[in-house]
Amino acid sequence: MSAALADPLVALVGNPNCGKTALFNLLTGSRQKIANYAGVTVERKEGRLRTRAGGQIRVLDLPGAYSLRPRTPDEQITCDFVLGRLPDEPRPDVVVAVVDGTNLRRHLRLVLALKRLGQPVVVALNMVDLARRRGLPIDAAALGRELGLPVVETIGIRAGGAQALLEHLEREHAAPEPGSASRPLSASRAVSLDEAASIAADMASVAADQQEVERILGRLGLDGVPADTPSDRIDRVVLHPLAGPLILGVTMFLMFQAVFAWAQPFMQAITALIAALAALVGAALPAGLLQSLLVDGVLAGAGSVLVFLPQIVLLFAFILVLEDSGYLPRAAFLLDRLMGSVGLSGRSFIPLLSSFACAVPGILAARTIPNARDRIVTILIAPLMTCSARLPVYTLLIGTFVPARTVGPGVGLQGLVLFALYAAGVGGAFAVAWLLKRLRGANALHPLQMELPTYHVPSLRNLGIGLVQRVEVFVRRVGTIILALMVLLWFLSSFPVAPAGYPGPAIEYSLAGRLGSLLAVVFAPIGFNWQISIALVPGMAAREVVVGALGTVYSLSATGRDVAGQVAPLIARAWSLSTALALLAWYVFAPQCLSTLVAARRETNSWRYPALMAAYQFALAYAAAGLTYHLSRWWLGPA
Amino acid sequence: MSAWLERLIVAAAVFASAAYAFKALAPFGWRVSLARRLAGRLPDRMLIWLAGQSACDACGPRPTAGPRRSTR
Amino acid sequence: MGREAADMAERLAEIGFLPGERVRLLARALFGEPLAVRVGSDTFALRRAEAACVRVVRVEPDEDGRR
Repeated sequence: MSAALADPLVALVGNPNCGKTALFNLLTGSRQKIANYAGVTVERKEGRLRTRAGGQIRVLDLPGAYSLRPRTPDEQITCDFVLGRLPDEPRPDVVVAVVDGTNLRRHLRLVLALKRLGQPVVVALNMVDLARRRGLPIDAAALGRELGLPVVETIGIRAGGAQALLEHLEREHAAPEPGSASRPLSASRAVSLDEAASIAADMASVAADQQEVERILGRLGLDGVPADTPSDRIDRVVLHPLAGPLILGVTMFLMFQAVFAWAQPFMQAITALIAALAALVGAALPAGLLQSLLVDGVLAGAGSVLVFLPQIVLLFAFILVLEDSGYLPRAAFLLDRLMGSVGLSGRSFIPLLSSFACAVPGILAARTIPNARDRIVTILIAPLMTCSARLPVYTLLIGTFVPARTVGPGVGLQGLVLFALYAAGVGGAFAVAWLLKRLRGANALHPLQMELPTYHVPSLRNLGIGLVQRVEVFVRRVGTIILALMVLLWFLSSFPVAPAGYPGPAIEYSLAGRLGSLLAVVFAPIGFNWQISIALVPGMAAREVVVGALGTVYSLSATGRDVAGQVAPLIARAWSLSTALALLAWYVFAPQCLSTLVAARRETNSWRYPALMAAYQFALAYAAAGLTYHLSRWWLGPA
Repeated sequence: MSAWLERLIVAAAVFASAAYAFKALAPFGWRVSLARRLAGRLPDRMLIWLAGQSACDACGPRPTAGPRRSTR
Repeated sequence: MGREAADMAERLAEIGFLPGERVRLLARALFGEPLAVRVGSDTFALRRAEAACVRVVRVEPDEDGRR
């Protein structure tokens, strides 16, 4: 432990979206998320770099900051760390100032501010490949002479792109042997903490730094103002007041159509595989406890969740491409006015968009929002964005109850319903934000100040890594927590064993059956039977568990031996269309994930907001499901 | 397969699932107090596993874990 | 200037809206807000209230005038 702390500490610092995390991944072999917009990293991440001499270097990735005077919680982390304000953490031995080679004008100002703090600084001139392609005469050695700091060239998104930085760190800063406490560059040159704070807070220095940067750029022949770039030409269309929103709408719509249509063959293949496994187990084992555990619990439960892997992969492929290309901040730009009308800024867009994957990173990403009130509102409405865990529930119900026909050229009804459910979540979020604005009042000034980065062609390597991670996470979830909950649910649904001659399915006699009947008192008015009521309970752990839970509960209540692992035909027979629609409406709003509430508690540092979140979501979900159930019964008849 | 072996396998699976679900879902405070109560009867590694910090599994890569605090 | 507006102006300076820099309006969203503004080699989205904190003078496109 003490030996580990004695290893040299290197911190990656720079403006947002300059490629710090990409370099961190290259240095430490990590796979932290990278994307083309400001504010992807909102926490400090630590990793280790093993030098060839056998020593170790601790590497810290910090959130991006425009200056050393923090405005947002994520910038605060970086500043506290660099200025050594954290009690348990030493100041870094070396600061790697990461700069975007295509945009030295802004990035070099932060380098100058870091240099004034007196700690050793190495400049990592990132994205040199892009800069050269644009014809900028980048010369690392000359830049180093002008700055009076060592400068190395890096390419964050290419394997081996951090070689020069790695060699520099090894040569200059690695401890000679593992665990040795000697630090080649002592902290004695660094200014004291108080001095550092006052240097950082000095506003006049910004203008002086600007002149110095101009001087340096002038000497290096880099002071030209860039002409019309390809990015600008794309923006002329994408940010067009009329064409822009249209492109955004069509993109989103196509995404949901594709998620439905393209995933079908793969999903059918997985379903067939699980059915075959169930048949195999049924044949190999005698009817009894173990067979029931494997068929009804594991295959019908966890297996029916695994079926949705192809859709999750497709959804994430779309999201990752959008993230990597740099389109997301443009979407935020287009939606800013709309969000402003409910009292939010475009800054809330990216946290909310992350919530389409999972509300937890969305809630963390709200740290990039400078305004405290906006931040709380964003956290409160983030769980209304349809997270990927809701996708299996939606798909199961839509696939079972909505006919697969087309309602126009290339527009399937099922995809349309899915789009409508996502839209309902967004609409609900806007309504809640608007209500909060009315109840609590909004501030007059909402700064936006959002960087619109240069477009990049999405990197296949990044996309591949991202998708593999998603698959791993999903499969791990199915194999661990979902499997464990399914086994428990199977146990509760099988014991106590019904006495011989019990009329009706044995599951009604079990613990789960009795608990379900109790809960059904609450949920019967909105059209849920006891099987749904009991499935909602393990669904608190993770939304997609409800699909597996329905699989297990129905598999056990089936009198004949149905094909296991296939929930759809069972619920198609058992439920009315009204019940299915009510359950869909419930899941648009339901407070169904403990991790989200815990994340909200951590980020707001009180139980007040998570409690408010759970309460309003439950009320909304109950009302929406009840309304849907009764309206559709009135419309379609009680059948 | 004999009936008692079948029961043993099923009981083990249910017990392991319950332990895993507790670890994954129970609030940190509960886990720590349970670990305290069992301290001395279970090996250290088991206690740390029970009380250890669990991150959100849904949100992808976790921040690299810092030094973990022992529960005792 | 109120505290919030002063804060906003300071922040704008930090991201590059400094005396002598060239700015260019690239795009405007549907109802006139927000604006996409080029400063140096960056593009930032700003609200009108923010943009109002920046004093500009017009320069001809091919003239090397500054500010």
